[in-house]
Amino acid sequence: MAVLDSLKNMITSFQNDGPYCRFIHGTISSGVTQANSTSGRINCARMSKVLTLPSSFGAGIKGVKFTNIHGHANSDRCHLIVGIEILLGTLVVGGSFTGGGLIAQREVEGELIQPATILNFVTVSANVTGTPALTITYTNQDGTTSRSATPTLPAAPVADSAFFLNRHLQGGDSGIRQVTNMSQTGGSAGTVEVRGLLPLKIIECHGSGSTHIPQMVDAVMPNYLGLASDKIAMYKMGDGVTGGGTFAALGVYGLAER
Amino acid sequence: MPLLSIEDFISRVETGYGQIRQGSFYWPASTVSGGQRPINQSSYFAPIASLPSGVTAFIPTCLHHFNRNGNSISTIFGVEILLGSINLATNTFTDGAAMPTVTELGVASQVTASSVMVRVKNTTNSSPGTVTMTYTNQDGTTSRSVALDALSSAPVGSMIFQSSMQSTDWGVRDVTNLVQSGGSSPSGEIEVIGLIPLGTLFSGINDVTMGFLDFLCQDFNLIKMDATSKTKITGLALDTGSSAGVTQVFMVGDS
Repeated sequence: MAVLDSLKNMITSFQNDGPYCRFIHGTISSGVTQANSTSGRINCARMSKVLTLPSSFGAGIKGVKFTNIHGHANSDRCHLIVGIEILLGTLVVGGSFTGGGLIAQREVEGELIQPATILNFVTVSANVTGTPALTITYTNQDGTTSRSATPTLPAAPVADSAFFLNRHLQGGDSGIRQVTNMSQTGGSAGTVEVRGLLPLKIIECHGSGSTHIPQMVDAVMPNYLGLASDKIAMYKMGDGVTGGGTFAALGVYGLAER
Repeated sequence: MPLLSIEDFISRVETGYGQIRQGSFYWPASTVSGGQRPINQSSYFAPIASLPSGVTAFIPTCLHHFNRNGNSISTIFGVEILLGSINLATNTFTDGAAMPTVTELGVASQVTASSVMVRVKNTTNSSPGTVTMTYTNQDGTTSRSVALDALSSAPVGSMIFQSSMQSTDWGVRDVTNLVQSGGSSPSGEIEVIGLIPLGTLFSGINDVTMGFLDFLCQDFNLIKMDATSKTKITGLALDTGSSAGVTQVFMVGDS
């Protein structure tokens, strides 16, 4: 019997197994690099502070089903996207690639499947020198290997910048199961990654200037089971996310799935 | 019988184990800066001093919030835990509570405060110096330390998100010491708090907003509150403008 099958199951899980309940905030004090036509067009910022699920659960518990994710983003005209984040690959610019391996199987709708990340980003964790043109080799959502994406980042992207990779995936692809290689020409320092999200929640922010109005227009998407040591990350996407002082705060609540 | 169903909830209310708690608030425009974002304290509730006979904990099940504000804001509601405080003039640390140990996902676990906030209890002077916080991190490693973000010339109730922790740390389980250094004739008192979240409400600019959160049937988010003077429901308004309003929380006594 799945925990989300009924309200009674949810309350019973709360009483017997106990919930997962956390609050987190993050900010980017000095701003991030604006996107351009070769990097993914949509301005994005990755909040570097993430939630880490416990490293183990009680006996018989398979993972966490999220029932309530709520919060605030202070940027104008943006989405705050919350999801289970998977580090797919890391490239030291001018150096070596480290792969994140194949995404772990997850139970979706009662069936163990091989998922693919739905929203994908090139992220910057250490300031980059120069203008790197990336070649990312990956396995797509169907398991087809040797697919490639070739975004060129803006000049000198700074840490916490993120660039929307989906629009650079090879034609017909909608997700990534594994990144098998990353290489670059141009650029001489810094670190970039490919990170993918299994989305859980989108929080919208409308308005401009100081009149941002955060709205939780979408329900939590409790499709994905949170596994031990999973990372819950926040990404901001939209016009107003590149300036300094961009901020987000989040409450996350989940129940044990047996 | 613990609360295990909606029928149990109705039964507990019918038999007199429901409780409405109310907090009201007014704050002037904030004058502080620093940390990751200034906060205004909203809807500060008195702690649960004791549990009635037949009640082992209170479970908040819904919340109403009225807010008259000059800016568009979000207010995050939750249970705050006072982790510790320091009198800056005497350099005296007063220990608070540790983050609670609860059954979490099938195991006894101490909750981690993934964010901590710094709040002014008594007005600070213009040169309060630096406060170094010693704490236990998310893994239970003790004697971690970080300098708190400065709150100078800050009136009572001023609050900010603490911007950093010691390298590689992302959470706090307990604050074990606060020590002041430097500054000039430092004065005032500050508190460090953690939060267990309940929900978020938002309101637009120059708006009067009545919000509602249902933790039982809509935004499922049930938690238990024990009787402790260091734990209370609070609202954190992510705004620096002035505002006023009222919040009511309905809680049911678990057994």
